[in-house]
Amino acid sequence: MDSIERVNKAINLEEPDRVPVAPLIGYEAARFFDITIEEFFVNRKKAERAYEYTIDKLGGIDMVMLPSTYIDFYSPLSPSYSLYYCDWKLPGKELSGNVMPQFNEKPIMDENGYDLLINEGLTHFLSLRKAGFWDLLKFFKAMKRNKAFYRKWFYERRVPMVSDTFTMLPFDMLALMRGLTIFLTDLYRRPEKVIEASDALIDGLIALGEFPIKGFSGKIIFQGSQQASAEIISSNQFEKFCFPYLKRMTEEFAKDGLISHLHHHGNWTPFLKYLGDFPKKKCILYLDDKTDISKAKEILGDRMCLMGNICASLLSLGTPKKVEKATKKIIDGCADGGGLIISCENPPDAQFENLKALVDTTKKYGVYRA
Amino acid sequence: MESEGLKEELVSAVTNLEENKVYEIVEQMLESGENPKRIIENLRKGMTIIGDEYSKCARALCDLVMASEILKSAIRLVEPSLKMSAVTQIRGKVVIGTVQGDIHDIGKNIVISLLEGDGFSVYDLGVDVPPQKFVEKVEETNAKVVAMSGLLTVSYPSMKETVIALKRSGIRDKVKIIIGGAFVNEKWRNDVEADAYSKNAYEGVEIIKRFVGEA
Repeated sequence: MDSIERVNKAINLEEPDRVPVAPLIGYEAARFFDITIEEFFVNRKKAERAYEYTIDKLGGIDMVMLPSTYIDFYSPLSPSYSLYYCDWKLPGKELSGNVMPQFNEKPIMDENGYDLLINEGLTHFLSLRKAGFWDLLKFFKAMKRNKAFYRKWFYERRVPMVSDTFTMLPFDMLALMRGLTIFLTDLYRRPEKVIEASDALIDGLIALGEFPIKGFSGKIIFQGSQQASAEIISSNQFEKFCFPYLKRMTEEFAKDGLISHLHHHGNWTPFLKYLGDFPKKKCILYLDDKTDISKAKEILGDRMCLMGNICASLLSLGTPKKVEKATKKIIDGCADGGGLIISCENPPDAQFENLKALVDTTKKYGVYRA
Repeated sequence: MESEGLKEELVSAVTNLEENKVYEIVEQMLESGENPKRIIENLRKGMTIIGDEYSKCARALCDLVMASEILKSAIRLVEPSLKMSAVTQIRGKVVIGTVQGDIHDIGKNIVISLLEGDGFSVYDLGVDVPPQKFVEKVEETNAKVVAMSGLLTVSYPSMKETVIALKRSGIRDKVKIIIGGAFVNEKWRNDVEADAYSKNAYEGVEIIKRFVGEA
């Protein structure tokens, strides 16, 4: 069974030959390939070689993602990972050559911006950009490069992408534009504006996810949510400001035969119950170790594929034994019946032997009996 | 009796996050000649209730941030009536920053907001702060608490170097050090030789309050 078939089975809540394993390879690949993060960042070809080298040395993994390099940070469309909207510090520029790009939170919209968003929708966001016509050309060049990457992995190596395109919830987008601390006070001081702006943004954000996928013939749309966790907002706030948009987005994508990769950071355990009637077999729910994945299996196991839930610091500060134990625990609790992908967002100082333990344990211990 | 009623109403308005009502009650109490220090005590009482509920997982961080914003504005209303200077009112001084090599500041900014709401004087060094900057600020302000933040695991060596720099300058024993971030744990705290670690903003502020109480 190849990785495409294996992952498709997991998404369809069927048991493949074994549990798929998909650690999210990032800047640690530069170290394994003996180049600096700066070299990885500025030289896309080298980054792709480092990426492939790491995956081959690990003995192969079941899902891949685009190496995060400068061309992604010059996108006039991607709202968060773009220098045209946000203040990013880059390796070799503002940062030393071996530090990953870092986000410097700076509000880019004042409270009056809500009215502009309400009137103009996502196009208002585009007016905040610093990019011009020539930058759009860079963007299309990047798209071409990304398409080649996709073709190589999907068609030649038979490995699907973790996500083919990217979008985000209006909640996260507004938090990004206002700055998290100020945005949290907006939920009390001007809740109606937050809702009206979210209503105005949702169609544009759905289109942002769907538009590029047409050029890829891919089907997985990444819907990131960094801020809408139970540590940050209450269930009432989730119901009001997040849930309707998350549901709408997922349903729209499902209607078009697309898969939502719901990528949730932080503790989502109290919010899992809300996802119970999301489109069946149309979602991959990525959860980090802050959410109780056994609980997710119990509540959503017959609805969507679960992904995660290895603790990131375990890969840098732990040992292969500890990684093996953590991996087995997730497999024991969640693998039955299919619908599980073992994964982790690798920190830049992840140790190779720990990553290898993650991959090897899943491949050996995660075998389904026929 | 009326004054007691207002105090209770003030506490309840803070815990219910009724921003305008809090300001109205504060104005009313000031007009009726209430001791401004008592007003601040009651504002903080409301904040403590929210904090306790947060630590029992009955509230989200969002409530804490909002309560802290309300408190800051309400205290600004009271300040002109305080005969004592603002300096004598502060609960303690904290030097805070995201350590060198890391520029994540969302968590740090939330801690600052909560500390200021709780009456601390906070010296924010920003992000990517070299060890020497922490040393210089402590020497300049005589702060008793140093708070280091770092989201990435690569911030670990910078935290360690900052503690070493404080030692070399002979001021390590004069300050309490707390580290915070997604990955910090007891082992990490022990290795960098900090006095405490915290995984969330509220817990961090509670630890800092204890530090100041001990000083």
